[in-house]
Amino acid sequence: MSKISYLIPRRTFLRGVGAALALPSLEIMSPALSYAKAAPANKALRMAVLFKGAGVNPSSWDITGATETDFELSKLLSPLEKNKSDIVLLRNIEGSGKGGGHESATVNFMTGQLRKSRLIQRQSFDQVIADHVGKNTPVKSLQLRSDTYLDGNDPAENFLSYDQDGKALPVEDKPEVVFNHLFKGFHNSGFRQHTKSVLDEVKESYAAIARKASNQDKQVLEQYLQSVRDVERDIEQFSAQNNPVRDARLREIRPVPAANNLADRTRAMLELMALAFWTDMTRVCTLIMAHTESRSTFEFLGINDELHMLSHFVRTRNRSSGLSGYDKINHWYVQQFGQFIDRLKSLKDADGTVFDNSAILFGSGIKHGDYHSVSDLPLVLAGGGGGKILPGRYVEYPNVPNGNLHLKLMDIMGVQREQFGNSTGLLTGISEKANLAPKYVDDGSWKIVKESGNKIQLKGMLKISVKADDLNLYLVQLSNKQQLEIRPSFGNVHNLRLDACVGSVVDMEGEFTVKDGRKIITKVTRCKRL
Amino acid sequence: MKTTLMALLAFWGGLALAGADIQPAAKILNSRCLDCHDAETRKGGINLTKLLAADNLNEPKTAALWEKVDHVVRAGEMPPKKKEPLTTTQKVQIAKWYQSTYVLKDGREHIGQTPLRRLSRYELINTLEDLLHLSLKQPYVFSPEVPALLPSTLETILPPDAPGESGFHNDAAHLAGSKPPILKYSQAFEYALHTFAQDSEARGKVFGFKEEPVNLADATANKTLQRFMKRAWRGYRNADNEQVVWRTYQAQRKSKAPVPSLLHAMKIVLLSPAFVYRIETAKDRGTPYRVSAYELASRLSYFLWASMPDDELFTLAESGELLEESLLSVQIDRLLNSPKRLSLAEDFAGQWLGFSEIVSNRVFYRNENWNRGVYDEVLFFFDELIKSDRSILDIIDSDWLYQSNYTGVRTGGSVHSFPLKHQDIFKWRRQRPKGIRERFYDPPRLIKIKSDQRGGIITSVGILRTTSAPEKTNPIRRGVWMLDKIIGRPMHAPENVPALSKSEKVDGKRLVDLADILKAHTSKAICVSCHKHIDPIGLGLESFDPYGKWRTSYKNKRPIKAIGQFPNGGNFQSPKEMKQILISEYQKPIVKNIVERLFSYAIGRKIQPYDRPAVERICAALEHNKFKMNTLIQEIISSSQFQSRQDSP
Repeated sequence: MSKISYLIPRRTFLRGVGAALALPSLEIMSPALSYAKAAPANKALRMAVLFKGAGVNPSSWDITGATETDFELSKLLSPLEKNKSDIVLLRNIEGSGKGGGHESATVNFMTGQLRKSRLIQRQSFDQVIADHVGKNTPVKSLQLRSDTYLDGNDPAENFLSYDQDGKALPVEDKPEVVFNHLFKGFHNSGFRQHTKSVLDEVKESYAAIARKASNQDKQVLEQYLQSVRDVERDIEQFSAQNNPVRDARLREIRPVPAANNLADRTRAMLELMALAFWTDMTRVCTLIMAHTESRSTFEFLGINDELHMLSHFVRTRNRSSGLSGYDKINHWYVQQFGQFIDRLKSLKDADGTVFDNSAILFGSGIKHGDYHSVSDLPLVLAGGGGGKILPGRYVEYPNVPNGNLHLKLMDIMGVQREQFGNSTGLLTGISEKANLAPKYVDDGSWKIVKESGNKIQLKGMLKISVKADDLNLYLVQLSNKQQLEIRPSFGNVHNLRLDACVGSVVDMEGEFTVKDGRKIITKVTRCKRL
Repeated sequence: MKTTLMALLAFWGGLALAGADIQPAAKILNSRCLDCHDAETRKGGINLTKLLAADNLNEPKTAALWEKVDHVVRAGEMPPKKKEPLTTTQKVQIAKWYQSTYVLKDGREHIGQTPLRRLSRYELINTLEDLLHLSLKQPYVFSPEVPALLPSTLETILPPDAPGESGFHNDAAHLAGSKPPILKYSQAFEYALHTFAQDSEARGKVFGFKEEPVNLADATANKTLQRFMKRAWRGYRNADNEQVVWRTYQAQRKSKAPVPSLLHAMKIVLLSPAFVYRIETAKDRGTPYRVSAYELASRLSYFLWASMPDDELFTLAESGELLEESLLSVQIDRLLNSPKRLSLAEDFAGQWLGFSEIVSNRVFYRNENWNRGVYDEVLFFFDELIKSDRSILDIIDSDWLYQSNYTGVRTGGSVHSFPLKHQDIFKWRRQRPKGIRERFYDPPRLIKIKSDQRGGIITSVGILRTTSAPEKTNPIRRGVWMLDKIIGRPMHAPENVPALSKSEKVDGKRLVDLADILKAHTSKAICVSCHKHIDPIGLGLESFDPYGKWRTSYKNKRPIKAIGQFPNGGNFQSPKEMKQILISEYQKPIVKNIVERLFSYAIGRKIQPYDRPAVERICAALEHNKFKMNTLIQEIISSSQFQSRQDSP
């Protein structure tokens, strides 16, 4: 294959890395690595999470009138047209709780549970996987961010991955630093040896200090020792693995250019993930493409508003550009996801392509950008999963907790666990056809049940309709093909979590008025998912 | 009334009660609070029933709830106005219970367990610079390519810290909880030592020789390393640890020349926990005791410089003189007179008020001079508080400010300067580089203003911008910022409360103006409890557009209504009046908040109930001394929290 080449690093890249290059121990790409066309390594499976926070406009995202194998992509998913046979579109997978603030959106997405505290959460599912498969690679797992760190916000919004103790793993946001981490340093046996001997001395120093330290200080200092041991493990890992395929691939790597805006940074991070997977430097990777409360603006799309503000499109309805801007941004993110799929497909692996041996989860921790509902999360699974994912499908589950999906991803990666977060079992219909009966069959009972004065009770399929000039319209589909309009106040929807019932058959009570001979429900007093 | 309460408290405090009886307080809760705040009714989401369960005593969760009870009872906020107030005796009983259980320990003031502190990235880089006599930071240059302030090489190697519960990156508990990045440390030190090795002047200062000797006597090498260890470990002595370093040197010498061997040994000195952590000697005592002179030297320099002590501090630590009060206060002034005090404006205020994001967060980039100007305006303003010893209330409103030419906002006024207490540390930023003839960046200038629109930090362009989206102000974000950062009442977005919008009708009227929408917040019971505080402040700032420019109408021509009312009835017609209400009506919480922020930063942890006596003393001293910034710093340093250790909770 042709060499993967990039623009010569620009000024910033040189500034950042040039100095590090001066270090003898950080010599890039040692020529000592032998270029060998060796036998393919064992099939290595990879797993990535692409988190695009801030939800979607459900009307632009949702696919309607589809079957498992016969489906038309929605407006937001349209960039995946050429990837239709690479993906599984997942419906009705839901997080814990009833939807709520931003604080829990990332934690819920990764652990299937609400935020435990500001700083400590339960272990995230990617780290459960990393604990098992990470020992096979020089880097246990990668945590990346292409959005900007939000210092002023809740810490939980800034992290996806939490270790066994529930501590957030640091997230790297500079592509050049990730590049250094992955492709420099440990590849040089001299550097490995040097670091190892230095660490031996550091351990002695640690011991001298720990002997004299107070008990409570000792507990803190132990973290230091633990960190030293982690690095030692990585070095041993790297030295022990005689992996000519990796060595050969590493020789192909060229620096990625410095990334100075969101678009470049996103592409650079995705490229680094692809390269990290290809060279088998790591098998688990998470990327925060956009925070739930992202303050990023998208000048390159002609959008100067912050993503988070746009995502609250019902409340910012006076801004006519709001909804279209929000859709445009989400469309762009799906595009990046599509390009990532194509990139992985272009990288040959031991058995097919890297894509065939990967499981990539793309999605958001909330559905409706303004209401923050956590039912029917926007999720797309891509990759062959080493034969454990049957792509090219659209699966409408009955409401299933996202813990089941986490368990399934663990299963694909060879990790067996009974339970995780809110799970009730292993998600079926991923490795094989789901063949699910339609969630609801119109049995003719979808109709107005009771009516007295301005009060109404009815049963039917709840739908949402978001248009630029009509941002808060809900519809109830009745058996007689009639669609009853619901025009509730914002507070009404929010209070009842009405949008969490979208896509379900509901038993609803409310108040209505008649306009032009049509009944319009103006207030919902009760809504129950059947 | 309040004095009696305080007097009574002091009286009980003196009795050295060991474990107060919960019964009297429980009885009051039972008869006066539980009607509304039991497990079933939970008015305002507050359930006090769990406070009465015996096994919940002293748990962190109940401690926070008791703190709330104590606060609302003291402030007279509860029981609500329409109910019969508590009697003085009842108030005292609640206060006494809280005081003896959560504030005092065995009837005495204490400072809680002293945490072990790891250097934050900011402190680490400063320390390396001072230790190795190097300049490792980037020149102060914006890069349109980044686009933000250009990061230094060390900043690209070392990961940034996340703020802990204190709100600051130097939070001991948070740094202790996250794994130290050993490999990055190793690379960072390698880089620093590599730079050091190429700098003959720096080498001369550390080694004592400039030219590389062909041979180096062991005794000389040992002396060099001893001196280096003492400085790097800031006086922490550990013979075994010194041996590790010496053995390393000797092992290296077998195959290497003297200087590379010294450099290798120095790397071990830096990678030792004694460098990365500020280790103090513990005496296993449950009551506060004074730290050693060396430890105090470090505490001082890391508070005021975010870096290691200099030679003078080390000398005074060695002789023990630093522990003398008169000398200490001279040293504080000396430290504050140094350019290194920049850390207080840059690291402390930058994080507290969030304006450092103007130069670090790409989303705020506009153009080089704009970002620099906006950032410098706040930076210089904060430093001025120290430089000419001004009142901390100037942060809210002032008749002076720093004005930059590049922010697009001009306030009329004349160039001014106050009598200096400490030297100007920004001179170097004013100097035009030699050989550059064209117009160079002009730093902001101090001007005396007479303006209804400006004054203080809260109406600076930097703050107004970071609390807005690029094209739209967000009064709620601004209100929340003010409450959290200035008044000290952090607000959290409600998880289960419906939001309002223009689709909402209140009293049958459709909401048109922003002010109307926000008014609806205060007419709906569920929103009122928080929004009665948030909205009037945010609205009071609506006259400023997202870039801090004054405006009288929105883009859609609707007039701005920057008028509002505080819950206590204070009306305002302009930002100026709003600020005056803040200063007169909210002075106590504002002062307490500023004290607690700087105190937290100084001691590297969140303020706890047992810190209350110290915080109250500092607030009182400030009030006596016109709220002067230098008094605040001196008082914090005088506290037992700052000068003492305690080894158990």
